[in-house]
Amino acid sequence: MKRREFLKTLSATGMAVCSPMVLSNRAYAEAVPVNRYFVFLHLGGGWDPTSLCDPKGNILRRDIDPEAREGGSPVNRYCEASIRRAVDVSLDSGIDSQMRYAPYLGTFNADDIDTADESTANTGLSINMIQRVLAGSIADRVLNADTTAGAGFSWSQAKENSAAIILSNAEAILEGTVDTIDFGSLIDDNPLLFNGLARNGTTMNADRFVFDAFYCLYSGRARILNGIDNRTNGHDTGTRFADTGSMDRAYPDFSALYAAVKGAEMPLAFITDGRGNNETAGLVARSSANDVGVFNAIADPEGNYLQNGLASLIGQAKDQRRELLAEKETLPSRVRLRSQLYMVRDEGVAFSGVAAELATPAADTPQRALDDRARNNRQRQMRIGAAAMDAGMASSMQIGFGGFDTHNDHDNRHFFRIRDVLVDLHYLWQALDVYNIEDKTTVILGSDFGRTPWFNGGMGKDHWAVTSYVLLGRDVVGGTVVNATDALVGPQNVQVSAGQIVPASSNSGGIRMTPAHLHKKLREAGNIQNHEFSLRFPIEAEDLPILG
Amino acid sequence: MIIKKGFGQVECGDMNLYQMNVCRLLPERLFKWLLLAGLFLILAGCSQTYEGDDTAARSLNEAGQALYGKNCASCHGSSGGGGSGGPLVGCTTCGSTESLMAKIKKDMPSTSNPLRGQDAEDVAEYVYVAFNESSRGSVDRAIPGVATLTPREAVYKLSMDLAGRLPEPAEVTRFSESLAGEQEVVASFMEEDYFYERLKDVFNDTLQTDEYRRSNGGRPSEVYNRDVNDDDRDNQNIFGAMDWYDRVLNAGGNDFPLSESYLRHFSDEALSRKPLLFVEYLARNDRDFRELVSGKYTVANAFSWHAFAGDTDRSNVKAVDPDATANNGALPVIAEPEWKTWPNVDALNNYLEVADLVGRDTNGRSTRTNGNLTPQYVMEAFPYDPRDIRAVQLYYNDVGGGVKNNGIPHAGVLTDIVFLNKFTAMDTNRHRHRARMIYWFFAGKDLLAIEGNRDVAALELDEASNSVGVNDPTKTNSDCVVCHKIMDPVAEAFSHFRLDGVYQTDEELQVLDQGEIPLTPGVDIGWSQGVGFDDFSTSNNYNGRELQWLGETIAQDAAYARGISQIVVRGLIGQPIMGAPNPDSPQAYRDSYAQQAKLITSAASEFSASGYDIKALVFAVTKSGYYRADGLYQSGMSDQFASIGSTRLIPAHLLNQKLRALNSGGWRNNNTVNLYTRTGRRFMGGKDSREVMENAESASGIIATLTQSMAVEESCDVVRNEFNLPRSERMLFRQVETSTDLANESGINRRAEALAVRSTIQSLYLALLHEEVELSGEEVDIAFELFRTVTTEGIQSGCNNINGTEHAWFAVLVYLMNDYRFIYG
Repeated sequence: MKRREFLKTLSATGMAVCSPMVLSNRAYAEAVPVNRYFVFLHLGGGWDPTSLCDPKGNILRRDIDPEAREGGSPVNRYCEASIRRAVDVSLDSGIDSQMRYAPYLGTFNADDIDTADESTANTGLSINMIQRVLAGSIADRVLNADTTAGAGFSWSQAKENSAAIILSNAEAILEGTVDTIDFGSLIDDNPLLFNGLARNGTTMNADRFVFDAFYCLYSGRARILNGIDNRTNGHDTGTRFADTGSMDRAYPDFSALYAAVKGAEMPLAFITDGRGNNETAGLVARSSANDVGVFNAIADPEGNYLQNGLASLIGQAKDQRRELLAEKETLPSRVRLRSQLYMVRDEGVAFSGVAAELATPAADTPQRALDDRARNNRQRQMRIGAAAMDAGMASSMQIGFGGFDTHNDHDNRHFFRIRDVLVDLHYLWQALDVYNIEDKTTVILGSDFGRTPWFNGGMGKDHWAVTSYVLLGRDVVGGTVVNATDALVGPQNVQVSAGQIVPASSNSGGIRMTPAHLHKKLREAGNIQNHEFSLRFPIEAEDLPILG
Repeated sequence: MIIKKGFGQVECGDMNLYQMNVCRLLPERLFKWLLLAGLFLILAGCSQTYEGDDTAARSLNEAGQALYGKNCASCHGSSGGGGSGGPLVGCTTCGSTESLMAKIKKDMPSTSNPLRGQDAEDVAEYVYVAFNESSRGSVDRAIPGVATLTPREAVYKLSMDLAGRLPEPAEVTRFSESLAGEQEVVASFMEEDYFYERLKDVFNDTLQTDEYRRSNGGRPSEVYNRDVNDDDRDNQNIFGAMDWYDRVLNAGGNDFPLSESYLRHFSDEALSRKPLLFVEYLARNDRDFRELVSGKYTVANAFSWHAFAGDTDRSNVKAVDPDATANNGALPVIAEPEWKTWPNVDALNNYLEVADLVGRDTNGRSTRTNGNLTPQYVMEAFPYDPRDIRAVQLYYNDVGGGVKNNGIPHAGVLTDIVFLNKFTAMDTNRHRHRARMIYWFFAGKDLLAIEGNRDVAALELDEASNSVGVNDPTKTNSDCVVCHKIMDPVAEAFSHFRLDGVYQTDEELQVLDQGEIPLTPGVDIGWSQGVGFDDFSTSNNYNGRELQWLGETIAQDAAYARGISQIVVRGLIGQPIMGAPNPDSPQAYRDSYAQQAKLITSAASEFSASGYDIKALVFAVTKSGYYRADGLYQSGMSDQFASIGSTRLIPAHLLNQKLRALNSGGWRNNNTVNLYTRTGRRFMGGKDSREVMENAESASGIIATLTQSMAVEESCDVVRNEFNLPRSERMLFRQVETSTDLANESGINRRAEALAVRSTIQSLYLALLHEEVELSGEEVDIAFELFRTVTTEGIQSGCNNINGTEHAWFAVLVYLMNDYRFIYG
């Protein structure tokens, strides 16, 4: 079904937004790359930003505020002095010195306890040690930290002289091509900095340095928004707010909305793994893209079955039937579904032509190398999604991560979940790079909400409305952070000063950042804010320079 | 015995006037019961918008009408259609004058000044008669302006949907005769084994407990003897002998002709699907479907009986009489259950009648029909346990490995360990999620739709800067209380059940609370964080078995029928249940909502009138004009009927069944899609209740393209299978032979041949697309011309091992399977 026919059908059937399974009219786009893409990563269950990008330290809550609930608990298990700064590990310049991140579990000494009077000294890994790791050298699957004695090691010099090595080391950590970090003589040389660590003699597992590697590589591209108030501690509502910008159940996820506007007929218009809010409002069909075998089948769906002119004969019969149905079918739901199927199928002809290439890139190409590196279904989906976007088959992707609802044993169960996200995010970025859409893609990382700034009786953390978002890519001003939470992870209102979002002097004035502010800007970034679909699901929020 | 706030401590002064009066007059236990019953009644926020019927049979209460106009119409609309106060048509308190009266007296038109006495009664009666009475009764068979399926189309659709097969000619005839004929035929569909699979499927669309099914990637150990903290510390082995296969297979006798995995399969099915087995049990035995929540038993079949060690002297299971009177919540045990244990393989074989079940002949040779049946085929494709299901009482082992004397206080699925794992609890949510789902599943009430402010930032909290203040606002803030006072009592009724669904006695809970002997570290769910809305935690007769009390209360509430009706409508229509519209909702949404809500309410009415016969509910939905909607008589009404009908992208497993019914053997192509596998189903849009929770609503590019593969591969299979059979045994091609001579010299023969082909094409439209077409109509012409061209030109398709006109039939089938109607049932 071609554009005019489709729009005519829609017009005749009066498609309504209300139907639970409506495909509605849209601005038609030819099946060519739309050159602007979005990837939304949803961390399901409610993540704990204080375990990554909004670190607080372990002073007891009552020492911050005598009236604080759960005053006997700290926010985190690591001390404030162990918190790291992105500017100290990033390969890029111009990083906001206030962009801080938590030390990964096992790389800090949990016995370092901040007190009301003063912060304790860090006796876990110092930033100097982290820099030595990043500037180290790889032998087989071991990354040997730079053991140059004392002042002989200079991070700034290392960055200047060995940026490629640092980059390579960070990639190796993120990609799991090194297993172990060996600190060698550093341990004896710095006996006060290796307490309470998860180490085996002079070595530690390399994946405990994923946070550092990530900030090394991505600080310059990332914008951190700390202090966004998701305004709920219910999973359903929080997920909805995070992914749609509204608490209203009717709203589509941003990824689905964007896909619908940019072409619901695209064979893989909206790629999703079914996690997150996963609401399309009936605007676009969901596609999954993590099985290579199916793509190979799609490349030649009818195989050799229709030989000797049979394909043409059946095609004629199908065309006649389509014309007949166009006149005969009057039930609105059937009209919609029929139109949608034929529309997608028409576009699918082009899809078949590239499906095999999407699934299995040609040998000895960067795409193939990327494919070979994929370590899980999520990464495979990311690669195929990037390939599909590049091929004009898709415009947005939504990927979910699970397991963040850590009501007990929080630290042991939460840190590695975040690590996995960063590893996959790194893979995603490589995929965008390999398919040359890195500069056309915005990546958003969000969650249902945050987690309580205290530990419960089971050493878990419960639901907390205040959370953080991480943005990367096109239209995002990297190397920046908005720190709009107080020491107890209460949200701080913000205001715009000199074009920047800064915390307001008090919460009696200013603006409370919510997902609505983010989604308003995402729509603008995708230039869909005035589209009929977007107007049907309005977002009312102040104008904040959320993307920087 | 733990009483967080004993009943005697209920403070009447905390209540509104109505509650206070009741409080003073009633004995404690009765009051508690009424209070919860009242919670079901007063729960507002879920409603329908269809307009009232001026032709309502009863005369309107004039005093009530006048009061309504003065006090209510400004918010609820003059016709009850809604406004700022929401609609009053089909709303959850609109089911009776009594429930309306309770609501009005409580807070209508305002909490501070509600109508009372005769005024409340008059308005309640007016609202009920004017806006609601006409919607009660039975479902609408016809909807003005909407065309419905012809009887032949309807019987084909119903036969596939309920029985998973094509209808027999006699059934088509009988169905077409009258409503009684319809009822008779549909009733016969609902006696078939497939129907019970389908019914379980319908319930799983809502309950999603099939997460634990092996075919979805689950396993029983995620539920039974679960090691919550993955540390072996809290695994009590409450069921002591679940691996039962060796007990039977090593006991001597002839060889078991199948593998142990066969037994494991059926055993796992019975365990993982226990809540759905309960549904099947009630349906198969025509039992009062309220026992789903109020039955003082759970269910087992012969396989799970063995898994619960029923064949040993340390049995965790005993058969009980579900019709007997329970004593203190426990049904009398049946001393001699009808199950025979399997002392050896011979007894097992005898019980299973294995040969028949797996498509083998009596000599143990596999029969090669219908796509080369194998044992694996049966297990994957038709995984129902054909054996009887019984009411049973379960008993845990104690920590020493002995069987406890007292069993679990069963309350249908409410206490089912699978259900309770699916809807788990946490130390912090304190069973509130369970409470929310109970209201939704078994009362059709959405707690999230309750009016109230969930915008945490706007709540007036002690710490304005903090989203959750020093004090827990759920008990103090009016915006929170509105919901929590309804939710928390139900939540607390679960307090004897851990997050892993294991029941704990008061003594065990006490131990946990004191922290002396942590039987289950990290999994205790207490109410120790302060006093919530848990006022009626226990009563004298229900100590420790509050869920039995909850189940009885739910079963006696009129809303139960609506809850179950929602589940069935959703499963059969394939649409999600729509949320109540708000004042800004577009008219088309209101229309769609009203039509769906009316179907749910009317079907619920038929359900309760039938004495809670689940089959009556299924019949009510499937006979409705909504389910059978086929078209509109007038153009320009699309907005009004945007969602009506039951057309949907057929879920992958049902599509496979459709293909099997057409004799393709199901779609099993390892190079494209194998619908017998989870991966294959997911790629065709199917859910697995585990990672993908919804079936696809429309065809994506992948599904649309794969459908083309399906058409050629399965058409080829169908033609091969069909023409290998004698005509009388075929499903589709009973009127034609492998050779057709459309150019026969004899005019009579030519016409006869053509007629047979046309007639077959006509029947194919019905069988594949559920569409009745004229013998000489354009639809038949299209396919006939295709058939004729392929035949006369002698075109050989790429479908191997077929001959002559089979290639032409192959082409016709490919054409039909590519039709959108084939995948949109």
